[in-house]
Amino acid sequence: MFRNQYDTDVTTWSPAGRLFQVEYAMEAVKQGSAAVGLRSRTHVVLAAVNKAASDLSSHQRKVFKVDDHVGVAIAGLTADGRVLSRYLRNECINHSFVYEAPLPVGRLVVRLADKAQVCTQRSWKRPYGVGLLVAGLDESGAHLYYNCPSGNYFEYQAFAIGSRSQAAKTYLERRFESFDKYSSEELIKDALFAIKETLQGEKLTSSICTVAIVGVGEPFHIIDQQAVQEMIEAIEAREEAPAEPAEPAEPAGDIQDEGNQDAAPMEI
Amino acid sequence: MFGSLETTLDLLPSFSSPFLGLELLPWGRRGRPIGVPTQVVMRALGQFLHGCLGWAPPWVNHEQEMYFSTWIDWETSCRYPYVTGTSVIGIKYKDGVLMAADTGGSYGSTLRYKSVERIKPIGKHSLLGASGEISDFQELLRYLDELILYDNMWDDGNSLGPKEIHNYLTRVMYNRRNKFNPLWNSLVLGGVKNGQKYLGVVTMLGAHFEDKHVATGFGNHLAVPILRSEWKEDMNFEEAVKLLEKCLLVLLYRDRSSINKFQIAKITEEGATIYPAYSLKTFWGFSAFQNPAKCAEGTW
Repeated sequence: MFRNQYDTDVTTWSPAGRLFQVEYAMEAVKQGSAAVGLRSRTHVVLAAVNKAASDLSSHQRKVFKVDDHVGVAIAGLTADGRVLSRYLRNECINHSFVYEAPLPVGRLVVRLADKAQVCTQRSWKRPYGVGLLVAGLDESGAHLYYNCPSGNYFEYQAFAIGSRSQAAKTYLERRFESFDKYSSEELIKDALFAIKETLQGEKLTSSICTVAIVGVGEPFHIIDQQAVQEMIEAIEAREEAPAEPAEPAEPAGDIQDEGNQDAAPMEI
Repeated sequence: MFGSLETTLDLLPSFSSPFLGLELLPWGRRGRPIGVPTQVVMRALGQFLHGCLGWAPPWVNHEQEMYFSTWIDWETSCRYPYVTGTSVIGIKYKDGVLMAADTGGSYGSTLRYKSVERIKPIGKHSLLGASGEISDFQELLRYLDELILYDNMWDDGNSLGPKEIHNYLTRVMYNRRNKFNPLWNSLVLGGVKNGQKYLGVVTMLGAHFEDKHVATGFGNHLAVPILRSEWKEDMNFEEAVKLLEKCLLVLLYRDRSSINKFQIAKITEEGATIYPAYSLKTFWGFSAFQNPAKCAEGTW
């Protein structure tokens, strides 16, 4: 990593016009375990890999419900993530109290981004070392945002953060165009697939991942372990099946099936 | 410090007491008890200085402790209304919400202002009508103006609907009442958003509720019974206006602070329309009104 004379302070610019402390904070996000988010027109799914420090300890909490219509998944310094979740919950509750209506997600992420930006411009503060995937639903539809320690935020159709997230992003880039029309089950399955990519060979079980969903008619909730395990098993069963069951078996189709079988491993 | 004044002032109790701020023989700072007369003098001196100069030295007890809820704070007392508007009526109909109010502002028993618009559009989706103190209504309009401005500045496809504004007004009214400084209004908030019609009331005490037809002030007594028996679901515009006019006429005859100049306002999905003011035809040709001197010689 770069070590130079301009990286001591968050309020010191480098000659190249960079704030190294902010970039280092974004590195912290990359060190955290993976989290992915996907959205369709009516639902948003968040999935995260929960690593436990040891077999004796409980898993790190990565997904937080912020309000009935909003939830976040974090990657990076979980303590910072917990504090920011509390801030988000507070903002939502205050808005609900005054207006008796849910806080629009776009406005929530702007407040969060402004809060993060403050920490990049005060010499006595440090940037939050956590990236948040904010998933929510409001009257303008389903939204997925990514909030950066730098104070930037972007809206995404699908995104992945944390360690080995590039593998998940590659998988999502291939599939994202059809997400808009997905049902919630298909979204969850794709989220689990994406999580699997980040594990790079390790076995995916419901004990090491958390999946949460929010959508029209469905308040934000974390899907329980049993249901997640069933979905994982369904995915694995489908993977092991000989070919995608699109065409019925025909004499001419046999050759095509053969071709499909060769093609299938590359698909995954 | 200040010569002879210091000796008496120094004797003020240095702790607050629960009963009228006065206690029998409390300890003074000099270690000697202070009698009630001294305390009364000190309090009076404090009030006098505070009233005259707008401030009083800190050793003089001029802060009104709110031991009794009936005590009035010196600067911002629970204000009495001066220029008031009378009833507002609101009903839901097929396309949205209709509201009616007269355009009179009374100064006590004098009908002083005859062109006061008491129903205003708020944002894209709502109408606010108010009875009670007109200046407080104008204050509320300023608050709401700021609220809508900030909402528009977001420019993100979200907008404040009638439900949100109703709740916001409830919070404002209730908080003011808790500080014994109410906005002396009864508000009617109506609107349509995404096909959903909304009609609610907030009183000066912060009480709030929603209904299909509402009225404030005298309207509660004279208009609501009519609305209860004759309002029906999904009236068209003409039927709804006829119903409102019926109520307005009763109010005109029977409420002394109403005038024969009304404004009807409607809010639909398309937006708000406030119609120009107009008058209703009244009938005074009752036989009992002929020959008024019949039973009272010399009357006019």
